Amino acid sequence: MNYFKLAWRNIWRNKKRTLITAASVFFALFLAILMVGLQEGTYAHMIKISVEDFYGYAQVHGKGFSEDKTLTNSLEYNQEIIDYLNSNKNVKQIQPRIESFALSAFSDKSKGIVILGVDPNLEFEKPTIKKRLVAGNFDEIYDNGIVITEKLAEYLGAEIGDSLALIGQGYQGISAVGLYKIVATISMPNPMLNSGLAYLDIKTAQELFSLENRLTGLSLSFNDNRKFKETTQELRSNLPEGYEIFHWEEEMPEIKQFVESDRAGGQIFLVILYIIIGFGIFGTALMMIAERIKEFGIMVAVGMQKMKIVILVGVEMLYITSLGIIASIVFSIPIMYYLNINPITFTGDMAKTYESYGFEPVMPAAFQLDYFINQPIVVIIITIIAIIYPLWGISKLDVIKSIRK
Amino acid sequence: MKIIEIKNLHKIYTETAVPVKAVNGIDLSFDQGEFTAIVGPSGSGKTTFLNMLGGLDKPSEGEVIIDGINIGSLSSKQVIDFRLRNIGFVFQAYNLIPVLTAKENVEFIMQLQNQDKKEREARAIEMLKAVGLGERINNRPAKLSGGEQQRVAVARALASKPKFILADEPTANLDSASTNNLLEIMQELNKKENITFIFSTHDQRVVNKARRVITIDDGKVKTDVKI
Repeated sequence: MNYFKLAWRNIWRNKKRTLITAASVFFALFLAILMVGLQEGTYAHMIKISVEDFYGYAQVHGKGFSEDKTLTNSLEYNQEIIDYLNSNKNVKQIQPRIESFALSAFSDKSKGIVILGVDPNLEFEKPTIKKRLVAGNFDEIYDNGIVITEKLAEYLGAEIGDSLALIGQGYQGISAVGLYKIVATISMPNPMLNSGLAYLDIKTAQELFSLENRLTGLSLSFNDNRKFKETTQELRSNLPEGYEIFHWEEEMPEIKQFVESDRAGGQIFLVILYIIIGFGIFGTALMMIAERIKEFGIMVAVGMQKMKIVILVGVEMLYITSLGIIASIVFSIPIMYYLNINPITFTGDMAKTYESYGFEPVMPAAFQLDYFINQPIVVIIITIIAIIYPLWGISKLDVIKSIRK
Repeated sequence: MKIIEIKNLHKIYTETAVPVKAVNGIDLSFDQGEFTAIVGPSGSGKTTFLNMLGGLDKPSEGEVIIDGINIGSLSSKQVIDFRLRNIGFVFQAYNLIPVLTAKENVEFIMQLQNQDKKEREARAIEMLKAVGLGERINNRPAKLSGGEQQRVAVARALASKPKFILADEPTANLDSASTNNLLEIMQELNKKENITFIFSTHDQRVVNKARRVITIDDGKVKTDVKI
């Protein structure tokens, strides 16, 4: 009979208490995994939409562009900067970008929109962009075509094949005017973008804004996107004169701030949840020890060192906690997987609230192994902390008093 | 051969309003293979004496020397280890571990002594057979009667081959048949294994079987009769 077997049998001496304690761990941990998964999934989704599909993990601009986003501060697209960026092993893809504004007009309606000049081969091959095609064909964009968002098309009353007029200001104040055939409509998850965005082929955009060989930015994606800060810093250190580089957190601090503030709120909830678990375990450990104090006294009397009893009871508590942990992992894995594939979609007021912040009203769950490992580790640490005092009581056990009980 | 020597043993409880002299100057010795009953009225100091003899309590003054070792000079960890290797205990309320079978309860102390699994299993079965429970080795305490549980406790105390066994009122919760049965078993084991038994008891049946009877009153030895 080893201690593990003895501990296992001991926890079933009071089945109800063991099951209630394990259930409290189960519910709290399941809630924690669900909450963290949904939170992180939502953040990842927001970042993906804003970063991967729009900005890139970092962008190279002409010097001064980030302070004054005008075409005057556009950069010259040349082989020197491309070679330099490609010299970094983490740089995966460089996408030329022109980002500006123009007034779009069709029939008797007009609207100010964002114009995005892109390399269609790179941009429309992204799986996330590809699947957002509502109508038409991206391939026709090269022939003086334009891809607009579905809400913009709806607002203007324009359809595939119609001609859309763009009026704006080009490089160094030159007037930018053009007429483009709507070749496709696209649905953007960001509601603000979805109401006013149009894609042009990069060359068409350069012609519209008289940029010739100029761009507003080079959007970068990395082999290991998690190292976006380090790679940006590496590239920044020897960046050729006349350029600047910023990663997405520097350019879009509002997303980072939102994530951090929201995450902090979630962590407060988690702390409360864990305190409740901790007290539950603490109470169970105290009761388990109090009702077996005579038994422990006898064990010490017959020759069992107190530290071995401490270990025995510690293992018992870890068993009870582990039951709750295993149950919550087994239960949460399929649920998190389902919510990852089928995100919760908000409707009504909740959807409007999300949209008012510029976010897609969906809440996908992140399905990452570390959530099923980190949270249980936290619970195990809490268990260990919660049982320190009760176990300390065993180490101070008075054999005579215990036996007399 | 003397295995226990007690010199000028005192125990004074100072936690009470008036200090209580529970043991007040006992000098005794015990030889290997004795079958001794310690008797006396309630509050006479029997249990306190036995507790100090077993290293469960520290004397206020005096020495308990077992096999040449003054157990009062040992640290608390050393005393526990000393008990494990030298003293067997039988308690009034059996005090078996409820989640272990009879065999596992008997094995428990041998396991604490890190004895080989096969050896301790064989010894546990041998001891349970010796106390007449060879057919009930896989029963947990809840499935055993009081007498049977106390026999398991005796088997547990004997299995680890201690130098002596301290039994604090071992028959107090048993009926006549169980008491006689238990005493016969202990007598037989005492003769067969030459293990020293020291009982504290109020039970005349135990006293009648003892070969030495020590009467304690007011914390002092009043009589010490070898039969």
